[in-house]
Amino acid sequence: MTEPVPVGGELLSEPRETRVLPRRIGAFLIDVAQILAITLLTLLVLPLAAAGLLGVVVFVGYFAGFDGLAQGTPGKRLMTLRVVGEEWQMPPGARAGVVRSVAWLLDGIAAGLVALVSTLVSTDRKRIGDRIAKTRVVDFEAVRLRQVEQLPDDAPVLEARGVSKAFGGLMAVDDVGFTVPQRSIVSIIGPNGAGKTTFFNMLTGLYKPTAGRIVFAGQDVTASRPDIITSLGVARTFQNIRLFGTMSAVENVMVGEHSRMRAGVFGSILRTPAVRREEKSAEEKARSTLAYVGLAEENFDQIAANLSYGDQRRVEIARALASDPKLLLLDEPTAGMNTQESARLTEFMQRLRDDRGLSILLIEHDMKVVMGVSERVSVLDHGEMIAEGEPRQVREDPRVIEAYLGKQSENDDGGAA
Amino acid sequence: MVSIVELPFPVIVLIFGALLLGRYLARENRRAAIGFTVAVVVWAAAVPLFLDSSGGVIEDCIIALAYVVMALGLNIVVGYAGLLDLGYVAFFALGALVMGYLGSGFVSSAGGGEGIHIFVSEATQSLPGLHVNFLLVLVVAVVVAAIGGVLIGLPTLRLRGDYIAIVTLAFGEIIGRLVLNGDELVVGGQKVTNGRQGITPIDRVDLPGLEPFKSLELKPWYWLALALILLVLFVNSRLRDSRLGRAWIAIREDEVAAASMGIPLVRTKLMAYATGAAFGGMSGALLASYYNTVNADQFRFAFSIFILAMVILGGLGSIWGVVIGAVLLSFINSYFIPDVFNEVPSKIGLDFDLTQLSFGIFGFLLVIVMVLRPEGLLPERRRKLELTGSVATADEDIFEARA
Repeated sequence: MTEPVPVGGELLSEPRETRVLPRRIGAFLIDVAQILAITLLTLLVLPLAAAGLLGVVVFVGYFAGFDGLAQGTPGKRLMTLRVVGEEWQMPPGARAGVVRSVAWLLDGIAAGLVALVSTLVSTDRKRIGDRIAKTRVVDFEAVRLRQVEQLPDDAPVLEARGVSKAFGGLMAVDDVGFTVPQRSIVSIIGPNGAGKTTFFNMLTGLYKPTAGRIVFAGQDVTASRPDIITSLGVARTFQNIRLFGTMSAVENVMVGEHSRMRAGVFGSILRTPAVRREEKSAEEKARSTLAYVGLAEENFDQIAANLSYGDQRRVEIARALASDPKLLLLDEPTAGMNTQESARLTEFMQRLRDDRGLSILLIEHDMKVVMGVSERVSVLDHGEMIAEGEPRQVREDPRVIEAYLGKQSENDDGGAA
Repeated sequence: MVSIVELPFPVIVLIFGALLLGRYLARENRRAAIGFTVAVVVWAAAVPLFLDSSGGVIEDCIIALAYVVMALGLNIVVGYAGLLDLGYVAFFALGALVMGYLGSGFVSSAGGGEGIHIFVSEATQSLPGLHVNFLLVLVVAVVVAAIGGVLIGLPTLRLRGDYIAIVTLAFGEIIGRLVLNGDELVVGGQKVTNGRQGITPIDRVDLPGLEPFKSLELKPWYWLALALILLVLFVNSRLRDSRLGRAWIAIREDEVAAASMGIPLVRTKLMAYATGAAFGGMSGALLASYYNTVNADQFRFAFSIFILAMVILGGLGSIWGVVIGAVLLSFINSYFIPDVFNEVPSKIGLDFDLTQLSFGIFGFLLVIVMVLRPEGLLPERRRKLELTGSVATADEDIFEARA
């Protein structure tokens, strides 16, 4: 793996002035000229290519001896193709047919090549694209996320009370309750299978809790639909990255903006000025969000699945940020990262909290990250909350040590991070 | 002396070559794509000038164009949103039935036996039954089919993958049976359909400012179908590059992640069903008028598969791919098998016609395409990446990163 760009890197280019008018007119003229050229070329090439292929078919058909191919069935099919009033017919003799077929085919191919080459030569698209990219004004203000609003300062952004989830007889999460204060980072830790991700899935509406209440920003969101919870201001990432693999990084982030956009079916079909503006600002916002999380600009339009692992994590965080959340849920964001990368991510989380007033709920295995960044830590084991408090207290709690390291007398079979 | 003049090859080759070229150009340059599209449309519109106005070739062309409209509709449901729909024939049936009700003497009691006439030409003014202008019928057909689309969509919302296919299959079959047995179903003294016999004759398309279409002068039909394709192409490409299109593709890729990113699954899926169905209804109304009959034999399960095969052959989700797939299969079905190669088996001493093997041949073609080119003839950019292996799966990535 190449050395990744630091998470939370600075904007890559300083905002510059927008494009000037003359350049626009020039670009427009180039557009028109190229469109015309291609139209004319295609008009010319198509019949030639068609004639060439037709020749081959006749040739093959002639030698294969399919009378049917040539004459068709009488009655319905008996008709003629008239070209300028004359009946067009296969010349007598196979030799003439061969000569003609080959000539047509070569003609068609040659014309096609001419068309393609001229297109390639006349358009240096990359350079034009670069020029536009350089003059794009990155609007930092558009990235700035909405602050937690209309909520008293001391009220928690998220409050869970007695939340339980049973799968059949198995209690995956049992009577868990805790709060996330505004502008804070809270962690949930616990061994594998402790019910952390299940708890996340309930917070985001993917699972319905068997019992309990979940209140987000003063609103009861227990068992609400995931999209409604997202539009209220909860966003998440996934433990095993779930990007839309065949979409570009920018498109992925734009999907994240879905709940903040308005365009409907008819607006999209007609592409009304409002819809066009919205699309444009959504794309710009997506690009500046990607820059904010530190993705290199040349990767913005890459297909997500082709990005490196670290970059995929960045895109996932950008996609979550795109919905302007008040609360960000991160499910093991440092999985697969080395110490250095984890440290950068930790710093980035603090920056999110301080710059944007976000609250972050974190599931994490890496103790260094958890202890360094969290204000409060909750520990789950077998679906139950066994400890809750400041990182230092939790670390020394005997039940936590037991859950992670096993009892002193038993074998230590892993689980410690 | 061999005369090849009746081959529709120029038509097919034109479109095929144009699309291949266009795909290439579109990838390179947006302006080139526009220029090329204009050229293709000009050529497509010019094709009837070279054809007899009532011959077999133009008949085949019109049907191919109508199929393109349907395939593009199905492409939204299957290609964009990834919801496998095996009952698409239902929307063809709904559109055709609307045309049958609103443009024939079928509802004979309408207007006290004298008929009701809305914006139709004088020739039809004296006929009994309901007679509504074709443009209005088209609108009604689109609306009815879209509602049908929502209805078929509702029970599938909680399902995934294969199970959706089964429910839609059943829905298509229900509509087919309903049309078949509708002649014994009487509502308020009016039969629901005419069963196998069919509702016939149907009013010919009658557009404002033009002569009513005739059955021996087929060029106007061709141009009307082409106009519908342009409309559908436009809607298709606009939707693909919109908020809604992104949401569809997101759902196709990963439903859970899509929901977590704020996409309302129910509404978005129903939108796909409704939009796709609307095009099916549109095409159904046109075909009903063109075939001059609405009968039960048109609405078979095999037809759903036929349209689906067009979409898959051309390339799921790829607009131009679907167009080419529809044209190709349609011509194979209505020209190559019955007219060109039909007697090949008997010539080599076998005792059957090739038409008896039609679906076997489609199946064979599909298998060949799936083996050689699983992404379809003109694949969508995304799906090509997905299938050619240049996209590593997420698991491999994690493995790499941890190693």
